[in-house]
Amino acid sequence: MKRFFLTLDDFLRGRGIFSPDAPLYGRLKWLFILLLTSGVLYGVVMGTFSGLTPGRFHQLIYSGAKVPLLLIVTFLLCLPSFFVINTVAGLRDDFGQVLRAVVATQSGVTVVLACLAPFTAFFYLSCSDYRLALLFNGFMFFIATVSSQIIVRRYYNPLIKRSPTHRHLRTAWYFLYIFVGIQMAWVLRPFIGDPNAPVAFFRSDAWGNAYLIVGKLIIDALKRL
Amino acid sequence: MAFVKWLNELDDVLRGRKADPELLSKGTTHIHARPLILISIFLGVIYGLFMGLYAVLTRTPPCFAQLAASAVKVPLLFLLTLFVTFPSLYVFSALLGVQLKPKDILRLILVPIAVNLAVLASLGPITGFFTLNTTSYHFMKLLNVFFFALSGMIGLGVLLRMLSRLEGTRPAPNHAKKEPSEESTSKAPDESRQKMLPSPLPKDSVRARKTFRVWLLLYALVGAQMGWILRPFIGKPDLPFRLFRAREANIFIDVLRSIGELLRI
Repeated sequence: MKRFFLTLDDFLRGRGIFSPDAPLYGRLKWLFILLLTSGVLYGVVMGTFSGLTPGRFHQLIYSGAKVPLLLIVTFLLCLPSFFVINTVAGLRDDFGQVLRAVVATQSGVTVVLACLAPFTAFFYLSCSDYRLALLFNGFMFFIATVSSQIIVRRYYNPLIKRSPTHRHLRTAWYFLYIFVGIQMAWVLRPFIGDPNAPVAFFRSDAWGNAYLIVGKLIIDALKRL
Repeated sequence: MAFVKWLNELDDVLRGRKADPELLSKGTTHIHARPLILISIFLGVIYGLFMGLYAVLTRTPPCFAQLAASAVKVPLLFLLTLFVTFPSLYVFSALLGVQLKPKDILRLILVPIAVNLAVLASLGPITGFFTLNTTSYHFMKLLNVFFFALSGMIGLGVLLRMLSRLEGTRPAPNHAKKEPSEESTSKAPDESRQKMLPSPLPKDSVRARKTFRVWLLLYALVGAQMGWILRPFIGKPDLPFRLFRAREANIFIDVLRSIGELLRI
């Protein structure tokens, strides 16, 4: 346990085995451990909105599983093309470090999320509106994404200094990851669990395309004007 | 273990080792056409399977014929496009005095095509994921068009990079035919001096670049329309499976139509 927290501290400060110029070996394992533990932690807290009432405890397990699942599956889907594009751009030799940078970013997102979990719990205690809870969690994810940029910079800056192409590829990664991630988040709904709906791992109507549904909402809103 | 050899060849292509100026100065013999073609076909089949998945998932009963057809059609699309555009590329480059033999040109063209298909195949899992949870035919069509365009542009970038390097070492293809063993030692200083000089045939290199630029445009247009002729790849859910559809309109009109459909929803 102590080792875990020491590693976490190293990760946050970017030193020891996590310093940008440390050798790569054995690092990814820890990054994934951090991702899983903090992702599950935030997911469980996220699920307490509806999961604490009797008979709904499995919502906690579902939500706990979904947060790391969202990040890891999105990551795995985007990895092949990112790998090929990096190779074509002539940056294959740096790919170990690039991989560490993108995995560390995701670990960073979940660690920040985990540290925000108490706020989420506190918010749930003071508000019972499902929509507001959704909005608040969206805000937490936003904060986590923005703060993870510190970690992105830490690992990517030396790479960019070596070859400016890395900057473009980082942008490409963001686009790819967010494009797939939004749809993944849509498919994995519900994360929080509507208290009025039965608990389910997947919603029966969830199998849809987020972009088309949001597009339809926007167009409908414009039509009403 | 032939497959490993293909993969190695592909890896060399992706890493840009085939575009190494030093190797290109000795001609294009370091590019092996056969393994490149075979791995390109393999990559095309992979993406075709992801593409054909839509017809399996949206239809009852699942339409496996479309899956098989798409898996065949994607590699076919690239091969046929090459088949249509290659003769004119060779004739015009020869007319304009580009010093590359047809085999050299073919090898040169295979590199960006392999890159194109590798990028496309690596985007396959994303296509598959969206197929799993999208029923909108038009969305899937536009996503696929976007992925083809994206991978095509990356392939194009690779070709342009190779060309600019080849131009830097212009007289080299003439050396390619010579036996490397006999004179290589005595010629070595001479060759390195030539390499350091600016391109000795500036007019020629401008021509080569122009030829390839025009050809690229042609290739893209033919490729896009070839995709249209070979359709359906995805298979519109309300139409029965056919190997080919009747002649009608062209891909550019259809893409615009699809965008219109999506916006109307």
